[in-house]
Amino acid sequence: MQSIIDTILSQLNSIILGKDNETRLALACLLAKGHLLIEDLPGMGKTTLAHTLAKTLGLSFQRIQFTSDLLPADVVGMSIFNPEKQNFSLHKGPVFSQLLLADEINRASPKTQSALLEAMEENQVSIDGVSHHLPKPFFVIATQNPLFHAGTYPLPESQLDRFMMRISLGFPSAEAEKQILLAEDQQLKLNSLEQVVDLEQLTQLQHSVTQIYASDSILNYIIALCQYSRSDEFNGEPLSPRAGKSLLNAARSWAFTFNRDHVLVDDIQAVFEVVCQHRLSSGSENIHSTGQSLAMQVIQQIDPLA
Amino acid sequence: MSVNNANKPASFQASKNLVWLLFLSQLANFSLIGQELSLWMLALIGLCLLWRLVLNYRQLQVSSKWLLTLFALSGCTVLAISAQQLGLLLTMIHLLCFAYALKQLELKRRSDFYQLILIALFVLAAAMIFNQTLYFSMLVFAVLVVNITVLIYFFMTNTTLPQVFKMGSKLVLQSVPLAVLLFIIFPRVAPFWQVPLANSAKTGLSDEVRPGDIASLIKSGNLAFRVNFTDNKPLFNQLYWRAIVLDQYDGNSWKKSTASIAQGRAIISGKWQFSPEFSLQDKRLNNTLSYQVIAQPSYQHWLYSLAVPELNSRNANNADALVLPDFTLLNKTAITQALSYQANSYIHAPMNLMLSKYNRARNLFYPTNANPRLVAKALKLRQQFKEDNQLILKVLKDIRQQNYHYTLKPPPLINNNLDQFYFDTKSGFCVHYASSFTFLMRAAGIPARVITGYMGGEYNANGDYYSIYQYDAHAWSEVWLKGKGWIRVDPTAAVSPERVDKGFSQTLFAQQSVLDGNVFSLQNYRNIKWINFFRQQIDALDYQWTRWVIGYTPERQLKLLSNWFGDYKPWQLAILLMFTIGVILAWLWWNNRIKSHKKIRAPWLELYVKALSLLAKQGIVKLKHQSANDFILTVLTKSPENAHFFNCLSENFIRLNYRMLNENERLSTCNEMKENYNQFERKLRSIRFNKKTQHINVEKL
Repeated sequence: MQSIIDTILSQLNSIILGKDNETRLALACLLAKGHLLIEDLPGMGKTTLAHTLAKTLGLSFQRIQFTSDLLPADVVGMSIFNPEKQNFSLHKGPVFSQLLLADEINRASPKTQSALLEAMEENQVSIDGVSHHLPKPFFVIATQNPLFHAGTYPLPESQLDRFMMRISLGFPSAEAEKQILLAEDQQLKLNSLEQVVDLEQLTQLQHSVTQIYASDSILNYIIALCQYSRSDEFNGEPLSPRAGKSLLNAARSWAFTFNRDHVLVDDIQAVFEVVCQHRLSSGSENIHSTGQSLAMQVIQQIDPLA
Repeated sequence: MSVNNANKPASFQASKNLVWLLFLSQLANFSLIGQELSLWMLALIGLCLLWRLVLNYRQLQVSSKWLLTLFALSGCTVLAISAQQLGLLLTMIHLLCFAYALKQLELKRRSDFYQLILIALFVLAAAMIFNQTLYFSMLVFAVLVVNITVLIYFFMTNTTLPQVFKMGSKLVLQSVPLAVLLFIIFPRVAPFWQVPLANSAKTGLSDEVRPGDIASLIKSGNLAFRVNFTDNKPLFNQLYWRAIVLDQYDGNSWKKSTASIAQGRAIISGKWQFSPEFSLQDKRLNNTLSYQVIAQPSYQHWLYSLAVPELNSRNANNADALVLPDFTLLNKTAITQALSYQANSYIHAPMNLMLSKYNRARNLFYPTNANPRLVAKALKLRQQFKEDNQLILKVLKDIRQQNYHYTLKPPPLINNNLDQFYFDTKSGFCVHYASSFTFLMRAAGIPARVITGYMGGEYNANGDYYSIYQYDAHAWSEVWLKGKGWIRVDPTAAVSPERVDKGFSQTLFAQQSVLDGNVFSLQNYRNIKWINFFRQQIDALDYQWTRWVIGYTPERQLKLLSNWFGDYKPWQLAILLMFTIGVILAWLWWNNRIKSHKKIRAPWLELYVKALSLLAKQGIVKLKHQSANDFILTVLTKSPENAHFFNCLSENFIRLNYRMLNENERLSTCNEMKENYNQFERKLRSIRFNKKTQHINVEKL
């Protein structure tokens, strides 16, 4: 099991250079059946990461470039009249895939965003009043440009909450950047990637993550963190129970990538920022760094051993 | 602590260990009370236990209904038949024990199990009715712990037996203070809170004595009574404890005469009152002995006193004690529990300076055809000596100088013939000498009677008291002399002066221990110094137990409480009691309230926090948000010399706090962590010490 994890990670790291922590977080998020939001400037390798993940995990991959005129039907699909058969046949949208890359999600109108978000939460879409199940597994990796960019519709809190993690890749180190500069064609390299796990193995991995043991002390720590975020002395947004659940699952998955069968305080602390920063910062007004500092504040106020 | 069967309140499922533990506890309970049960009941209980054993092997909880009914019916039938003979108390106890034996065959529900434990506690308490000595009480206490252990074990299946046992002992010990408090202050209102009277076989002296009788008593090392002298202590050879006056001889045995029995009855019923009067001269201080006696249960009425006794009437403990006209003491009821009374004896006071005609005749009577040779000898002596005094001295001299000797194994006498003893066998012990001497006196016309009681006693310096054992039983004579009253004459003293001067047990110790046959009795080893010391220590403990715990009668309670609180009335007592209970309840409530507010921390966390505070004293403080793993690094950088042990400690802590461990792993890791902590603490101390010494060295330089 661990060798699979290591292979996946090394493959990811061979494409995304110098971002070991971020790739591990992304993998942990998918193993915990969570959706991932990547926020960064253009050209930082967001799309490449999504591509690499899809290739490596052997998932069917679709990409939607969100624009301001994108309609819900473009995402979920629609019924189209077939003149030969004289009936409506379903034309499935790009959402019917195992890994969906929603590029620059905050460029689309809220209406379109919410069409995707229904799919994310319920693993199904409704087209003309008929529910259609999405393939399993179903992951969404959404990227968004920083909120201060022109022409963006910020995601409301309710929708941010559905992403398990929000990570940002950030600029590479000088050494990594040199390698990027020297590297041959990125696209070629991507195409030559091999699938590491099949669907069964992936399901197995996801199941293993749910079996990771979280002791009473860990649960108490999570509760304490959540409760602090809801107290009067904290001036960010409160963490929802779903946030707590996500935190636990992410920590489990994080522990799993280190081949541990139990969750440590360190796991919680490692994923807390990425799991909670977009939930703690209050809506549209916030800037990325605020969420980070709020997360730091919560962590520092709680004694994990109390 | 995991609660077993919590989701199924009704059904009873016991682990294999529990079933066997339950069986063992039952055996222990029955063995304590078994002595008091009749044979057939023991047989029935044995059958039930045997059946339980069969069920255990088949891993069943419940017996078949038919068998149970059969057991119950047969038991009840036999119980009903023999109830008359057993008396109320014993019948009830039989019933209780029988129920206890039957209940264990139908453990269907948890409530059955609870009932079984409850009955077990009742059985234990019932065993205390019959025996209240210190040893037995300690035994009962131990078995109580076993019973509580069974109960706890039912709820704590995951823990090992020794742990549960430890917890049970702890619980019982914790309840001791409350028990003591209740023992001291709880009112003992008569029919409810009184130990019921048990009718057991009579022990000790009997009111009929044949030559050869006391020998069986002498074999017994049981305690008869203990005496504590308040001021003066008499000489050893003055310790003649009178119990029974035997004034009738029928040619075979000495008895109490019907007349004196009638007198005793009249006094008990209150129709007649007898109180001896003493002159001021008798009451002079150095002639007065004042003492407290604690008599062991004998199931008889006799009390023990030195001549001439007077009961201290102001003492509440003496309420049931009486003085008989022959200057012995009698209790109104049989002594079924240790009984304490207070008496004064005036050792030089005369007894019955005047002897009524009737009494005189009674104390001179002997059957005409009995012991002709002794009668002939008496008549011959009477002719030789006109003075009673000289006659007595002559007889004692004869006994001393002729070839009489003292033995506990005398040759058998045909029909208790005193002639045969006095002239042929010439060997015997106190009863032989007292009987023949008294007979001789009567034949010579001197009023005489046999007294049985105890002679001597063992002084225990630890508790400042005398212990008088059954083997101190003795018989001697009293003769009535004009102008002097009844005078004690001990013919045994003539043949074996040691017996009277130093006590029986030392002279004939070897012979006695052979007779006794009990190799394990500590009495047999009294010549070995340290064993004797040990025995005396235990005995002193037992004395205090008897005196303060068993002797804590309602009267004493009344006195104690009135000493504490002044004279109190029932309603005051009620208020006091309610107040006490209220305080206890409030305390319990407060305690629990605090507990529910305080987070209960796991032991490993407690230990880790302790280690943290040790480090904090060194200036290494864990940041609030730091995890245990993180802090290991901090310690490593700040204080590398301590890091190793702290590292081990932390790793075990992390294991315990975050990993899924089974009970055994958890225990072993916990122990390991404790060991880590100790090492860590030692290490820190040694470093501190080194620093100090370095500091001192630097100062010296």
